[in-house]
Amino acid sequence: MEETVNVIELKGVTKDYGDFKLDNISFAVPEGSVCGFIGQNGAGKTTTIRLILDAINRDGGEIYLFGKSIDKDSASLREDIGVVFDEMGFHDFLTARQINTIMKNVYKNWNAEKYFEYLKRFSLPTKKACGSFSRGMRMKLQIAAALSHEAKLLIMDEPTSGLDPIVRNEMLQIFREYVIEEDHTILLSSHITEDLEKLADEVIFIDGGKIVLQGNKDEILEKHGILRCKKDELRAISESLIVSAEISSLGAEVLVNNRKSAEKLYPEMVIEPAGLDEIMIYYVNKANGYDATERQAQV
Amino acid sequence: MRGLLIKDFYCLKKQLINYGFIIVGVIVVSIMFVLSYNFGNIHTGFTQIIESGQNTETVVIQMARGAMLMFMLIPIACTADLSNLFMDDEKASFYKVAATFPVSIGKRVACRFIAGYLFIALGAAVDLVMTVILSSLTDIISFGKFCGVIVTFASLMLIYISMFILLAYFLGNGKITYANVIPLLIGAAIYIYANFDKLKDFITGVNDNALSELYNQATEFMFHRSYIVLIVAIIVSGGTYFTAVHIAVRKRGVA
Repeated sequence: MEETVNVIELKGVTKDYGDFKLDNISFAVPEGSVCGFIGQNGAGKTTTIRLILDAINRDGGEIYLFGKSIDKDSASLREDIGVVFDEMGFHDFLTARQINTIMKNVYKNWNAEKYFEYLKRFSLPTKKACGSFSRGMRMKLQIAAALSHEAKLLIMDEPTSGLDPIVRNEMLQIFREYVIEEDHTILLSSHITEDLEKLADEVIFIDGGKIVLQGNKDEILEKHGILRCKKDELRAISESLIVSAEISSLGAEVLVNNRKSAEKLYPEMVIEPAGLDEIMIYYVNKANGYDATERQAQV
Repeated sequence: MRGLLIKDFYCLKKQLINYGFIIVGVIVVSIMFVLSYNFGNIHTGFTQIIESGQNTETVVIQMARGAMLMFMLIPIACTADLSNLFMDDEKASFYKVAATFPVSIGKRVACRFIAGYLFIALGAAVDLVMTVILSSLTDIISFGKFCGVIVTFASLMLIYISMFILLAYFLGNGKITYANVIPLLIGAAIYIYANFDKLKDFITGVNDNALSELYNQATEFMFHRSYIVLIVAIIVSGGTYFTAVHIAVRKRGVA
């Protein structure tokens, strides 16, 4: 049996900013997978990514990239990583051609031909200062740069936020093409769960600096469900099944963590599959203290 | 590492274009000055000053030398401004991108120093060209003395730029102006401390020639003992580089 290789592995990682703490984060991203890193703004996604890239100091824990500790030689490990941020990061006066000149002197495996092919595919001008590019064009330029040095791992921090659906779809297509290669892995941080539902194999939910849920996306979607019932029926539902509940004048909506069990136990109630965004919202509510017990007490 | 240097070059490109205009202007004005000193109005003016007994020939030569030193200072002083580099990186949040490159923090800091030193080397090269031209046209300052001036100015700029880079890393984003000013204040404080008595004599009126003496002292120092400043510059450069790396590693390369 083939052993699963983890491209990214975090073990008990902490980072304390005083007003925000990334608390004992542990997760692994297997080789060849697309891992969605989900959380609302300020949940700790960017901090985690910056820790993975060794761009900030951590207070505790261990981080491994391609099976090697980043403490040993993080710079050489970054040779195999392509990174896309929500903001471009290149100077406004630089042209795509100049960025090629910079990058080919930064990365050993820089493939100029591939880079210009991407620019052509994205219809990006090569001689125009990138400061005049639209947000979509800037993101495309970043992606072209991130994919042109034969990176085995692509880390993206909110790459699709603020983009129109057509550009977003175009990008998702590029990411799909990237992971066709077996040893290519993506860690995609986003709060747009729609993109992750289309693309991700694994998902990690983070909230308030803590991992609240992680696992195979299909399994998570399979297991969770939204149970709709009357307010007074809420008490009858087993607490172990409830992640959290939302109550309105029309009734109660409950995220259950075992849809099949819930269907068996409460056949008279409507239980529908939950999307990643709903799962995220209910887990965040739970983490924020809006748990079922309190709701039940209110009922 | 070379990629980061190329990026720095692109950042300084606009500055280099402006620099080109300044250099052409300085070279033209300095040649005009020397020619006028030899054959034109300045020659006539200085001759009249000497003949009327207002000043001695030595003082007139000192004045001419002062003007020449100013011409020499401009090309090299203009190269000692790396603030655009830091401000452009800050504006673009380039440090985020740089942190993803397979380049260690030590090398990233080294790039800053190398970019600064290359820029100063450019200023020194321009000064050298001016020296060749001017020393062939005048005997106000000999070629050897000119070289002493270049070494002194270049060394002072090395010290300045090294301290600037160190302070840029130490103070962090958004405080580049302080990093620019603090080395100047430190330099001025050291100079005042070292020449306190003479400056006091001049201010209190005890010795009206104190400033002139300081000027002569400085020029003699530049002509004959510029190697001392060079040694200090090398020591300061090494010290500031290692300290800057230490700070940058602690702050993970964010200037």
